[in-house]
Amino acid sequence: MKILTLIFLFMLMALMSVMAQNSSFKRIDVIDCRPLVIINGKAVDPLSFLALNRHDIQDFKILSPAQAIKKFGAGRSQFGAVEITLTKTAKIFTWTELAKRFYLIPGQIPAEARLYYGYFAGLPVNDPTLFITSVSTAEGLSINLNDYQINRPIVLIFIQDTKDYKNNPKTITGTLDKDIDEVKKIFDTESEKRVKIDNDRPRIEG
Amino acid sequence: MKKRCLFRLLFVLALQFFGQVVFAQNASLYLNKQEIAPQSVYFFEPATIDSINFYTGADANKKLDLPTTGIDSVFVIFKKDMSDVVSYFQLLSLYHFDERSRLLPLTIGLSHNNKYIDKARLLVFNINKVTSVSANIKNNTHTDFVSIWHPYNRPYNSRAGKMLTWLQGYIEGYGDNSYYLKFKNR
Repeated sequence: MKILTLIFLFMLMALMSVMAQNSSFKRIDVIDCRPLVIINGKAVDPLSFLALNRHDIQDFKILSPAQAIKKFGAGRSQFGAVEITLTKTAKIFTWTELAKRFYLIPGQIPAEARLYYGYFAGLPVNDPTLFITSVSTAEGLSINLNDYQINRPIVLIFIQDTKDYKNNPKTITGTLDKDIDEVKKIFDTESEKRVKIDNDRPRIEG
Repeated sequence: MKKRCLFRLLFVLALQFFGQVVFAQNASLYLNKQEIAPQSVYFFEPATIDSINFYTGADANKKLDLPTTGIDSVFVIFKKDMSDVVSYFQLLSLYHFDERSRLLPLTIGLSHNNKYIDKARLLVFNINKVTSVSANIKNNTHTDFVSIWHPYNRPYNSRAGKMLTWLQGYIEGYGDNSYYLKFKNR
């Protein structure tokens, strides 16, 4: 009887520790408050916003959640929307083009991706196939197959942060910069939360 | 007493002058019968290595029939099970890189100060000791390059591990790196 009780307690502890790890991931999903991003009339992965060079942006509109839901329907519109029109000279990489640019075979690379920009830790890309980036900001792609922290195949996208408003607040000069930085803060806040949760996440080691 | 101190001082000075020369001997690394690039020592799993032996060039030529005549030091890694070892080009394919990437310069790690590896084609890897492979643009020169990452190398405990740790120090700055120093101070 005692042995059975011990086995039951052990299994309960194991279950609790697994649930604790999974709950962190659920929390990470819950706090994803990225707005809907529309570039040249097409919905793209929200993180594409961070990968655009400011010089490639011709027009920039921020829609409130109510306006966004009215225009684009439910879904990610509940966090608002950002409509971007690019200049005619803007050079853009789609996901396939980006993979080819960095010597990868597009059809074979992992389906999961994280974006690394500036000094922040990686942000998970919702749908890499919808991700686009300016040619001038793309710095590299990395394939992780054995990373002990992530522990599954993943693509890391390295983007140059063309304007670091936190470290260089005085360099804001363009007419759209103020609006862009407002939206960028949403991403940065989310990134900081994710980093904190990821750091606090209990890990089973050994 | 004074003479002994003087002798010791002279010995230390002589070591400082000639130490670089002693370490700067030409050395080669072999995996069984195949010559491999020295940086491969970062990517071996000590538990899967049978032994690591040291020979002079002439000895290695005589005992193992290796083309090492005229080389001062030869380190030979003996490993029977080669199922977990891949070459550089095989690794690029495994990480979904196309054939164009084979022509790019290669570094280990992403720091812009890292040197390019001369004999990239001769690198071999234990597939479990590579965490990631990336293609990047080097900021200061705007050229593309490939970089390969390995997990943090702790000082190993097995015999082969100790030897690998020593070799990592030997090939990188002739023993000035932290791994080599840690090993030396143990």
